[in-house]
Amino acid sequence: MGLSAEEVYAKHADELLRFAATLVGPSDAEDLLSSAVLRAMSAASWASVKSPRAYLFRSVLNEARQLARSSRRRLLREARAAVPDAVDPPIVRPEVLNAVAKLSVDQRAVVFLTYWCDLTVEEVSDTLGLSQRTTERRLRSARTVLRRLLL
Amino acid sequence: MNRVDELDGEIRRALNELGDAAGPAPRFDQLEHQHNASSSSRGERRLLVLLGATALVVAGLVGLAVVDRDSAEISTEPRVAASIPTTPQSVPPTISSPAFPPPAASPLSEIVAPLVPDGFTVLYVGGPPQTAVAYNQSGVRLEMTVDMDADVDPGQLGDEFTDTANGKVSADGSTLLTAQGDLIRAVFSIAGCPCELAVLDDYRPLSSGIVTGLATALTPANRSEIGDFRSSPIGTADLRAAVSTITESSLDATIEGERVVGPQDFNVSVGAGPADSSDTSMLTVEAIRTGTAHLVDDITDASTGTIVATQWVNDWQLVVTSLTGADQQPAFTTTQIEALIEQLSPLFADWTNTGPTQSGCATHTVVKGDSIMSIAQRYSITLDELAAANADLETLLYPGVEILIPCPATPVGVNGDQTGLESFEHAIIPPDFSVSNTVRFATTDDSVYVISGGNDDQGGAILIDRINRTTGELEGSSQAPVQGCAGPVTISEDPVADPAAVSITCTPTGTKDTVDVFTSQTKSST
Repeated sequence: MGLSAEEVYAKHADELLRFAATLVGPSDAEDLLSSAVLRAMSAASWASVKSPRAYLFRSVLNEARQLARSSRRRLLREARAAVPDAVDPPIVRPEVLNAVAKLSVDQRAVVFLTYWCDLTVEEVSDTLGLSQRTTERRLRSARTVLRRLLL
Repeated sequence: MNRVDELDGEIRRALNELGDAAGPAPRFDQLEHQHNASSSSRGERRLLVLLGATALVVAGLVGLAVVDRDSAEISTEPRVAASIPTTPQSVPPTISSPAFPPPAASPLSEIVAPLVPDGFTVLYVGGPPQTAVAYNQSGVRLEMTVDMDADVDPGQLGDEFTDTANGKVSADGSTLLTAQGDLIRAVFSIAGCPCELAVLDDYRPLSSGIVTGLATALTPANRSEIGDFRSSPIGTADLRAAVSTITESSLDATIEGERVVGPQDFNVSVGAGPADSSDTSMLTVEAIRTGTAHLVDDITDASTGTIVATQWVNDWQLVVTSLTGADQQPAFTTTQIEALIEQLSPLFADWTNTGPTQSGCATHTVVKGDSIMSIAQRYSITLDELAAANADLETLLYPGVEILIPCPATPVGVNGDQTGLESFEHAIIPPDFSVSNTVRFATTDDSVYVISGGNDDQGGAILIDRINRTTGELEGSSQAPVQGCAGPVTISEDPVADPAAVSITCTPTGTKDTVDVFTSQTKSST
């Protein structure tokens, strides 16, 4: 691998942050990205990674899944602390947030790579380590939801 | 403009908005800082929780005094709480205890029982991994996991909880690999035991008494007993037996069961394959408790996996996946698989209404200042119920977003005609339908129907997606308006016995004509 960790990060930071924003929403995106990148680059296997870009995408997705898993626990915990959770709206239309909320984290990942990164089904599958069949199914079901909510 | 292009454009626009809202990416040298900064800003809120939790810990330690007294080298100091002053706490919200089959008596229950603090009820004991879950009346969840797999890389389980800020801490009789301030988790490796013990306690600093007490209970002498739990948890033994009946004659099968339990999710899977490890063909059966938007998707990621059968039993979906081995031959015949499904179905027949379902009959538009708590109080529902009806509630709780409010509804019958099924085939999902409500399922020989209540631009309506039971393909969608109903429509029948005659309720109130779901109207868009 010719590039240093810093160079690899700089090269992909923007699309990874956008990816994170799609997976967990804009306000948690930066935090998610930081955790994922730090975890990925401090892992022993980082040095032998063949495709750092795919590896980082997967790391962010894994981190987002983790967040979704602990989401209910955090939900109850933070509700107890009685801190209002609704924050100032970011510059995202509510219908977009609504639509994204109806997708699973995995569906969001496939949609992002397809529509933002313009990857083919094959490339999306390689990036996420899925079968093409699974990728296609996720994309199709996501489009069904999005058609209802965005158009 | 072509509708496909239009959708693609909208999706790109949506992604652009989300990405823009996240702002510029941090520089590389800011990553660590960002990580720590966000931890500390959260820390303030967390402190409130910890303050409230301290008193609970003290109470818990009193309850554990018996355990601790017997082990002189075990510290009774709560590790995390030591530096936090005790202050009055807010009263935690009451949630209804999750309705679930009572835990079966087992040796692990006896081991766990003395370790469970006063006021906690053990909800579930089972595995693998061997897990005990207990709740108290305030909804505080205590979860203990023991992973008995000898080949677990020490620290592998800990990796999941790694917190570099806290680092490793030593404890008497065991090694505390990680203690994470956020989720307050700890993973222990136990001396002389090829296993790891994880204690997850979301709301209180760890009581070392609980952890070391459980570790002490896991002596080598006890381990053989614990091994028995692999076959003892509810349901899994039945599943294994059912799978065995079709595998014994044809294959020297190895069967592994897995089970994940919680008030919101319940997932059982059993895999069977030939004992010859060079043959990788495999049959897996998964029973998935399903609410919304989780059909056969996401079940199989293996490139060789094919879903060969699915079956709905109440709110369970049994999914049989066949993994083809190197010889490219399916592991089981269709007849065997059908026999398996037939045997498995009754096991789930009475597993209904055992927990919250993902449904709703009203929506709430979030306004600034709303909290999860205030919304739940406003609609007189519990946090559990609110969380059950809304996946990802916290992540996307912004003003303007609609969330589902679950509530009971009175069924109103709507009749239909099965002969209308043909027209269903060619329907197109109209753009004006919004699923604001319940999603239910129904099965026929060939298909699974996903039936959604909601609104179209005229008022209450039902949307039905038909999915091929074998392949998981979406085959068609149809929409039927509910005359005289302003909407949204709630599908009150659960599960739906007949997809052509769906019982619905029009909310908030309203009478309605009889609606033929399949033939009355199929809207199409151009």
